[in-house]
Amino acid sequence: MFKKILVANRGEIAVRVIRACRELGIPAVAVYSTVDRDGVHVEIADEAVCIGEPPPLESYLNIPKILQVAKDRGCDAIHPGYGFLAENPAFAKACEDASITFIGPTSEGIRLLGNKVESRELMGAHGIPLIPGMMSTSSNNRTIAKEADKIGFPVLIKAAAGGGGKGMRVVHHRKDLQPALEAARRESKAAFADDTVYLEKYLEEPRHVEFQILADHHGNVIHLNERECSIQRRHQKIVEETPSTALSDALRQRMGETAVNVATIAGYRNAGTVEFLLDKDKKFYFLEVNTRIQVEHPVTECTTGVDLVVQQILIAAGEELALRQEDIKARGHAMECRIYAEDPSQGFLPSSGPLLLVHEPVGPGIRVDSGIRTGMTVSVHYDPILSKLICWGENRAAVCRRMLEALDNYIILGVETIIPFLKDVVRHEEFRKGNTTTAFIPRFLTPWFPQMPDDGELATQALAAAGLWKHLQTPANHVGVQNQMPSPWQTLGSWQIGSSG
Amino acid sequence: MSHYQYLKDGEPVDVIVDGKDRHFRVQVGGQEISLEAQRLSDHLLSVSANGKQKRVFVVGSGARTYVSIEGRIFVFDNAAQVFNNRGSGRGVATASGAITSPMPGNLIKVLVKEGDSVSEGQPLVIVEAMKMENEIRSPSEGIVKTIRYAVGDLVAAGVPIVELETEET
Repeated sequence: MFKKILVANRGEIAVRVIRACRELGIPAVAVYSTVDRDGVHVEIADEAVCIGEPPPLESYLNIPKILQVAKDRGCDAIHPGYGFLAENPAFAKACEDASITFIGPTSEGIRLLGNKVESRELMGAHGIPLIPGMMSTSSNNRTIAKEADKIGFPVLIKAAAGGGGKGMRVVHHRKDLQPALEAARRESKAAFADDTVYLEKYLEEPRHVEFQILADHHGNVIHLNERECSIQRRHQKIVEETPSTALSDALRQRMGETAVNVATIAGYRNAGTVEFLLDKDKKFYFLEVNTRIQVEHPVTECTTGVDLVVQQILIAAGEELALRQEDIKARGHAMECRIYAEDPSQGFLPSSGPLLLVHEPVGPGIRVDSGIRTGMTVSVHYDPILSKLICWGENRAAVCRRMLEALDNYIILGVETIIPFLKDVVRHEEFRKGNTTTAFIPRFLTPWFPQMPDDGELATQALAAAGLWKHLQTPANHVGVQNQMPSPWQTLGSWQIGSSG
Repeated sequence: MSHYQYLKDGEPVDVIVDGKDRHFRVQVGGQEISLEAQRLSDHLLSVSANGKQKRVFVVGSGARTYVSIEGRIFVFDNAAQVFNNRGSGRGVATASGAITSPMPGNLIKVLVKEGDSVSEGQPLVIVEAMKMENEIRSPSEGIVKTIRYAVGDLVAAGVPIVELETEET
């Protein structure tokens, strides 16, 4: 097993990984940029090292610096989390060259699966179902136009190196193809330094269903069922759940077997996710493999009871999977809401600034993977994900009820969050019916404005509370439960015991 | 008694709180509410009205007050702390130099005459609200131009009582 692990990330995922390391008895080294000095991941790690200025290239993407810290601190493994360097083959290669274990697949594995066209070609050759489209990229826009006619509109332009919706364009009419191609190439060039694109048939209102896999170095590959991730805005997921309301047991089994085949064909080693699109006729198509721990991994953990980060570390250390396919038994239903610091009434514009108050929900079946605390500042430099709220319950209806109650008890004051929007998603009739497709948000919740039920009455109460709160800050007005004399515990401020602040 | 003024959607609203321990009378923009309230921690209040209890989170950031109640978040600008416990404070001056009462009440005393020179912070009138006397003080140096009300008059919130001639006007 590893002696010490460096966690090359920040925020909630760094916290999640550091906890797993410590549970395994492995000391964890956190790295941080100068704005993250008071980060939760820095607080809970065994060691913490500042690696540079806030811009990611100077800190969380600074490969030489991170490797140097790993060497200096005697780390024999690096966990990349998600985002940043998680799917960067150059980083995995640099770790390999430095004889430090990259907790993930090999650099070659990342490179192969990271190239959408190459992985499409490989999977197609092995009979994995693919979305109809081009099997290679082209720099010639006239060739692409011919291909578009062959595939039939609407088509989807995708960047070969793409991800996160960048370099992606839907084209419904032939006349819009050329400008869309140029825009997609520009965007892809800027984001990935690569302007090669290809075309796929655009599926209308598909579901995004992905399968969690675990693959060890001994040829064992298992899947841990699906996650339904169709609730997206700007091609980014915000609500995920398992099981999917769209899958029968038979379909689940077929898709799960296909996911295992994909991992086997690619020679994949690590925890990973095989993404599929599922169309209206329940036909599924391979999309891509994510070679990292996913943001939404906790829903799988809640229903299967398997700690995916621990499994990922064990696999990287060369251990054989102790779990066999028949051991994977999912129970109940789990759902995740991503808590982003964004203003949903302003087109999900990121919101930054100090977190004046954070109060997180607790209770049966509630899990909060959080990277925030009262007093921290949400920086403009990074992804605005603050935390994830995950609820488990015996069935989907119970989970929706639990999620709404938990969202009501998730108090974040100081920055805008998408919590009010998430409540509207979870309480929506179509969502409750399980009609979760990628068209859900555009169709039902765009544009979105906060609901103002009974606004006047509630606003009056809020104003009364504001005045009361201020009034009660004067000691003479605040007669405590026992007496008026403050005990030392009360005057110690932030060391106050039993404070729920 | 404490008196605060908040801006809700740009409009000033006066909040007057009277009481201590558990029982409070609160006036919000003239509407009076009787409440039981307890401060559970620095930013958490338990507030009951008519037997219904609510958990309210409140935090201030200098210029603003954030309130979370029933899953809704309200953000108010802190306009002024008009009175706090001493039963005295500063009147609110409008741009034209008019001094207004921040809350509705009974004008029980006029302390200046038209033509008087007044200094900043000098008491001008006393308004009784919720059985408490509140001195309205001059927000700046100036000369009293007009006094629009007499002792015994009821004054509404935001209506000019005294007009002041200041250097700027």
